[in-house]
Parts: sequence; C-alpha cells; structure tokens
Amino acid sequence: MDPSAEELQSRIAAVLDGRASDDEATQLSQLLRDDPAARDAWLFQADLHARLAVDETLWTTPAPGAQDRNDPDGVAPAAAAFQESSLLQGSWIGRRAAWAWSLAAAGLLAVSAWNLAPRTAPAEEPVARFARLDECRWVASDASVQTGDGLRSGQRVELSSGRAEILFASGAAVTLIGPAIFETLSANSARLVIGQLKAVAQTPASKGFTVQTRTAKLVDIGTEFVATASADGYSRVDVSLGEVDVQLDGVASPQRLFAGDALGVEPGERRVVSRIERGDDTPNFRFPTIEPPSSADAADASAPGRDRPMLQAVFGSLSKHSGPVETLLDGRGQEAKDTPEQSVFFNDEETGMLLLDLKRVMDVRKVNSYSWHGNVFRDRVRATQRFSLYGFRGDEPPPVDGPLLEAGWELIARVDTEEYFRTSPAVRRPAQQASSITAAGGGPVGRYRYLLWHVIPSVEPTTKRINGTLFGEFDVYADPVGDPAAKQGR
Amino acid sequence: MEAKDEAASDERRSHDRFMRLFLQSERELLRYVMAIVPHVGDARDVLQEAAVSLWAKFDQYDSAKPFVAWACRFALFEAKQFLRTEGRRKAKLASDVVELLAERRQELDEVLNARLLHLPECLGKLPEPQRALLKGYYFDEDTVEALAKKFDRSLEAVYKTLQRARTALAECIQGKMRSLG
Repeated sequence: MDPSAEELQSRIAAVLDGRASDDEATQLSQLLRDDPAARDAWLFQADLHARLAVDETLWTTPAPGAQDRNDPDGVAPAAAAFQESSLLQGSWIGRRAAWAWSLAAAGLLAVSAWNLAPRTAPAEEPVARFARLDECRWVASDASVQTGDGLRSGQRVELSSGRAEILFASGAAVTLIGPAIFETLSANSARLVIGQLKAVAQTPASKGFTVQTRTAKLVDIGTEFVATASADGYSRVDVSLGEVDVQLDGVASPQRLFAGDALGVEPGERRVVSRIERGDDTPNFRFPTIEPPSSADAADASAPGRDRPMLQAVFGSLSKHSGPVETLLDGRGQEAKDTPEQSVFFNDEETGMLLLDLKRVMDVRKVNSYSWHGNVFRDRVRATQRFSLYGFRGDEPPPVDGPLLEAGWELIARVDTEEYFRTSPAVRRPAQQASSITAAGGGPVGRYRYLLWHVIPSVEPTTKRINGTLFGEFDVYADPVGDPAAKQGR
Repeated sequence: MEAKDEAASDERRSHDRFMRLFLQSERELLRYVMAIVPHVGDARDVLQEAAVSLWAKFDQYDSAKPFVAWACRFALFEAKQFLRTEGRRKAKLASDVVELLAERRQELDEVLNARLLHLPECLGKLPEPQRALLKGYYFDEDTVEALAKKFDRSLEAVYKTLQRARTALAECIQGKMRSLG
C-alpha cells in the first residue's frame, strides 16, 4: 500500500537527515523507483534541505517582510529581494563577490570591494584596522576603504587583487593577498575563507593569534606564517619564523610546526595531512619529526621473493643521468647532495608517474618521500617536491594515460614544497626535504595495493627554469589487511 | 624562455578563469549534489573531487555552453563514485534510483529555482523557535544531539520539529507558487 503524503515526507526526511536504517532506505528506493510523483517529492524536499544548508545569506540577511530593528525604513528587504534575483548564479562564499567576479569575467568591470555583511552581529568597537593598502581592488564596486578604517568582529573583507595589511588590536598583523575572502572574528582571531594571508604575531598580546580555515585552526605561538585556503577546502600553513600549532577538528592534540615546516590538510573525513620538513643536509637525513629513510617499511627492496614491492616509471621518461627506480626502495637516501646516480628524476620539463605495487592490499598509515639536491647552478631547486599521491586497492592498476580520478585512482594528498618559497621574507630553500603523508587523527590514510606518485617538475622562481626533482627514497608504512600481527613498518 | 613564460601565463589565466566559473557555480553545484548525497559535508567532499576533475578537463570546456551544466556531469560521476565507496557507511538510495533522480533533477531545474525564490520570505514567517532550530541545524551545523541538549528536548522531538519546520516552509513555498501561477 502506498504511504500517505505525510509518511512519504517523513521517510524522505529520515534519509536526508542521515538517520534512516538500510531497510528504510531500501524501502524508500523502491517507492521512488515505482512512483514518479514520489521522485518529485524527494527532489523538492532535498533541494529545500540543500538550500538551507548551503546558502548562509538566508541566516545573515533579514528576511523580506520581517521587521528589522536596524532597518526601520525597510531598505533591507528590498536589498535582500534584489540579491535573491542574482542568487542562483551566486557562489556560497559571498554573493557580492561572485556577482562582481562574474562581471569581471565578462570583462565588464574592473573587479573590486568589500562586503560589510557580517556573519554575526558586529560589536561596536573595531577589533582591527586597515593599515597599508597596496593596489587593492575590492569585490564591491562601491567600496571606499582607507588606511585607518576600523573592522568590527564578524566583518568580512573581500579583496579582489592587491595586498591589504590589517592590524589587530592585539598587535597581530595580517597581510591579505588578493584574491581572498577574510573575516575578523576578535581582537586576536580571524577566519580565512579563501585565498592567502601572511600573519605576524610578535607582540605579547598577540601570542595565540588564531586563523581558522575550513579544515584547520592555526594558532600562532609568537611567529610568522603564511596560510592558504583553496576553493576545494584544502588548507595549508607555511611557517617562516617561530612556531605554529595546527588544530584539526576531532583531533585531540595539535601538531606543532617550526620555522621551515609546512602542513597541508586535505578536505574529507580522513583529514589527510602532508607535512614538509627540512633535513640536516647530511647523509643521515635527520628531520625534526619525520623519521630518516627506512629499510623496514612496506616499500623496501629487501623484502623476500614474491612479497617484494615493485616500483616502475609508468609515465614520462627518466633522465639519462637518473639512477634506476629501485633506488627509491633501497632504504636510504643519497650519500651526498648532488648524486644523480643515487637519485631518481625525470627529464626536465616532463611530468612523470611512479607506480608502486605493494603486492597485496594494505592499510597505508604513512608515506614519506625524501629529496636532496643542491649545487651552484641550480640552487636547490631540484630538492623541491611537487607531486600528487594516488592509491588503488584492486588487483590491476587503472590506466594512467588519461584522467586518473575517472580511471578509478583515489587522490590521497598533494605535496608542493615550492609553495613554501612564497613566504616573505623568503626562507632559504632547503636542499634536503622530506614530506610525510598521514591521517591527522591516526589510523590509515586508506587501504591500497597500488600507490602512484604523479610528479610535477619544479620551477626555479627567477629564471623560470623547469627541473626534475631528485628523489632519494620513498617509504610506505603499512599493515597487511587481515593480518594485524604482521606489522610492516612502524 | 619567452614561450615558456607565455605558457605559464596562459596557464595562470586559464586557472583564474576556471576559479571564477567554479566559485560562481559552487552553491548551485552543491545543491545538485545534495539531491543525491544529502549530507552537506559529504556533498562538499564530492564537489571537491569534482573540482579536481573539472580543472583537469577544463581545456575541453566549451565556453559557449553553460558551465554549470558541464560541471554537473562531473559532479554526478563523483557523487556516484562516492556512494559506491564512502557512502557505504550510511543508508543510501539504490543506484538505479540515483540515475532516475539525476535525470529528473535536470528537468525540474527551473521549477526548483523558482520555488526557492520564495524561501527567504517563507523563512521569515516561521515561528522563532522553529527558525532557531533550523538555523542551529543548517547554519551552525550543530548535531541533533547538541540541539537536543541546547533546547532541552529529546532527539526524536528535535527531528520532528525540524521536519515540521521544513514542511511548513514547503507549504508556504507551494502557496506562493500557486498564487503566482
């Protein structure tokens, strides 16, 4: 018997709210399969649910018709109605931003503004002020921002291009690098919605200055760092001086970063983080927290017979000066900083892919990659690591000559130590680098048999010369699935 | 060298263009994904995956055609991929039903957009307790457990109030559509 309309609505709600059992979802599927009207009911209800979740302006803009204490003349309802008409083309990150961006994209407007719509009711007293403004263009065309203008708690700044310095009451200084969207939260905290900023917190009152992104909370311990938030939810912090604690939701203890360290946080539940550190520039490959190259990990050529993992270059060409790919599984890094024969690298200007077959499905807990290079001609450029790591758990690896995600590869993490050198003041590029990919809350980053490093050449910033990175070792710490006693790697 | 500079500059321009298009479409794409993957956090993950594929294939995008329509195809692919893998943890709709819904979603696009134009006004008419609960659930992203504690209600009562509030909104929207239609 068909359920009543009310019962259908409540069955739909149970699935939308994520509290339906498998049986209930199966029953609803059957109903939707059989009845086109039920499908429409689902779509109407799901779209309402979606809009309530993704359109924050519903909650921050006074509703048309509602009496607004701060708006006795009723201007806000008219403004809201106007905004509504452009909503469906708008971005969730800020309607005015999207509106101006769309005009700019069409070449109609020199982009420009700042949005005074606060997410929360602003306090009267400013918590920060604009300081130096360097060729700033704002998303709102009517913006008139001057040095000295105050910013209240909850106020949003939408910078299209240029650099805006913002001084907080605590003494912390933020340089916002356009395009960026940013909110002041308090006298000692802010939110970076998207874009990049540099933060300097050197006064006693600014100790603990906090920048929130969608995936991380960055707490400054008297220092200087650059924070980046990408549109897809990826966040990153690069520390140029002092120390920063990175706190991730649901993870008890923060990760502490020191000068020269960087941490990227991938979106998604597993909270995959990639940590980048500089080494001691010796064959010992010592790093602040990342362990030196290991011969006891799951990706080591010393494993016996058919369990021995296999590494192949499956895309791109290795340089004729490169050592064999097995070098990356020999349990050690290079013996000196310019030893191509002990390194693995692709031809300059070529991307390449290295495919590791672990020979069985494993819970991969950590993937470390090491590089070392420096000489007078290429100033440490070939130590820079730029790669995306993918995984696959099936028996046969998917093809690599087309789009990897469509082929079935899962993106695990992105590493780019080049980004680090966008800090200001520039930090000298480390000649020896390690990146370590783990899940922030402990546990595996995923269950895979195959790992694929998609390696991108590094770019020398001044000459723009494109170079292949000299990798010295790949280490994979993993546990065989279904055999918890047989731990491989720490 | 100049050729390389030009290539890098082209790449940068292309990326900027992509970012503009993507940011403009992001909310609409999220709504599309949430018709199939209803949890907003999951839907954001799906969209993040789609963004990676979109950028990889951006050179194939025909700018004479709407970006959203092109992007929806990728979002659907990623949503189905998500339901096959990550979605196992939650009760979900059958894959053939997902196909049917995705197809119908496209046909209903204009109707859905028109309906939601009335949402701000209808939201303004909700009794404050219902509005506060919806705001906690959707805007502050509080869990139902947290809301139950905050409002001193049982879990079941919170779910019921949420549903009553959404039904009231749907009825208000339906009324507005009728009066205009």
